Amino acid sequence: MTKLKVKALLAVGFAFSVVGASSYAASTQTVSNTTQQSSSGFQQELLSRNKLERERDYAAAPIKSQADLIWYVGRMPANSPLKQLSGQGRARFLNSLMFGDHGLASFSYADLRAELTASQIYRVLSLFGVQRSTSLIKGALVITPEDKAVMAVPDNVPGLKSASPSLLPDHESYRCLSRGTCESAYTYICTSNC
Amino acid sequence: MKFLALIFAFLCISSLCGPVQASTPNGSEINSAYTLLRQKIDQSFANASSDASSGPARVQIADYYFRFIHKYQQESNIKSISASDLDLLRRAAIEAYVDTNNRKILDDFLIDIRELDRRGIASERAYQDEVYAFVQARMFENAQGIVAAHPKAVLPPIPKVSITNGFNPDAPAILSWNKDANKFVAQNVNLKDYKLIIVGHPLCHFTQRAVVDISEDDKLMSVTQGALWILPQDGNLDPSIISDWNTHHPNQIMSVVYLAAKWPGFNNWGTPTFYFLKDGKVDRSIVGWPSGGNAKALLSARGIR
Repeated sequence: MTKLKVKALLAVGFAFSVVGASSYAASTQTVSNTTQQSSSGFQQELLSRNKLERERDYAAAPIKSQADLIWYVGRMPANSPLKQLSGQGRARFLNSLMFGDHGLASFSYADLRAELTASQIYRVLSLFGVQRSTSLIKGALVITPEDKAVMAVPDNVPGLKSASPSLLPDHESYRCLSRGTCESAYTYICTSNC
Repeated sequence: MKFLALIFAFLCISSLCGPVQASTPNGSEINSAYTLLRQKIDQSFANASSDASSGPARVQIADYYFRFIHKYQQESNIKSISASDLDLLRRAAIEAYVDTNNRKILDDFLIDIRELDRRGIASERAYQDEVYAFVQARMFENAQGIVAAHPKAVLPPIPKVSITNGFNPDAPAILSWNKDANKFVAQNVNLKDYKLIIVGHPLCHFTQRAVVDISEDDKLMSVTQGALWILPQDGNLDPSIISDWNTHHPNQIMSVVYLAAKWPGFNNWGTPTFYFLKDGKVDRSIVGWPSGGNAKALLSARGIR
């Protein structure tokens, strides 16, 4: 083989290696971008799914407003989950409720946590379509497998909480004020309806 | 005769020097008092209007607490209170403390916790409340002590907090998150350095909405350029929330207020609240970011149409 041919072969080889390297780099970058995009896409998908599920919960809820609440309490069914609260506990919980244009905007969970198990709390909050807030209630009593399931938080999904805790739509230890603000309030939850 | 005189003297002395046996409050009495306090708290916040500060509401709450609850929180008679009522007193105290930052109410809460501990009936929840209260009070070592003393309880880890040289806790101050050092740094703020200070919270959707609207509008961006963004004082100090926010919002880096009471003129800690300053003093404030936003008010505050 002549020197020229060797040089040509080396040059071609070098060219291929450069192309190969840049392709590899590009593909790596693509994988990295795709990973980031998938992560962000994954979060967006979770957000959308969460929003849809909340909308379904709200649609099925019997109490969407103060007027609904008054109607319901006046005719409280014998098997209402609210009846599992003590008289004073129920009075304090109902008094804490604040409704916005799209349903329950904030509530105190102090009495729910003190008197009920997690699944009982879930059933109470289902009356208002905000049962997904149950998992935010720190220290809720977990006894049965149903209690445990109810407390399984969205941020237990791998990658979600570490990706962005701010994806969780409710704000624990805050209450909704009617003027477009949240304010610190212990054992309150400001829901996404605020 | 002498014997009777001795008995009489003994009875007289014991009635003067012995412990005063306070009457045990009726169980429903404390429950009713707590219900009343909660009603008043809810009413106070409901009455806070969009332009008024929530400061007066918080003063009212302290007043209600001292009127309805404080009388039961005496160390001399707390031992005779039932377990369920003691827990109600604990709840009343922690809720009122968080709303008011009143240290006397915190002291009452600690009396309740000590009594629950003494009886061996303090729950995990009670310790969670205690940690929350200490973090809100910026008593980080106390909070860390509770966490260390109860390794089986589910309690939040207390992040490291370091204090800058010459730190004055009685002046406006923040806790800024140092990602590289993995700790909060307490440092004073010179209010004269800022024309705009914004109270917000990463988890508050009004704040989130405001930031989106601001980021999409050049005029709003210019108004908020160089603003100090601060979270209100509360008992949560989760670095991941702030770190995550700051990573994704380099133009709205947030820090945490150290002690809200030391920020003169800052009477409203709802999120978001926009404080415009002149020479280090609050000139005006704009509260909230309802649907439809508050851009007009914000621009108008800076004389921009």
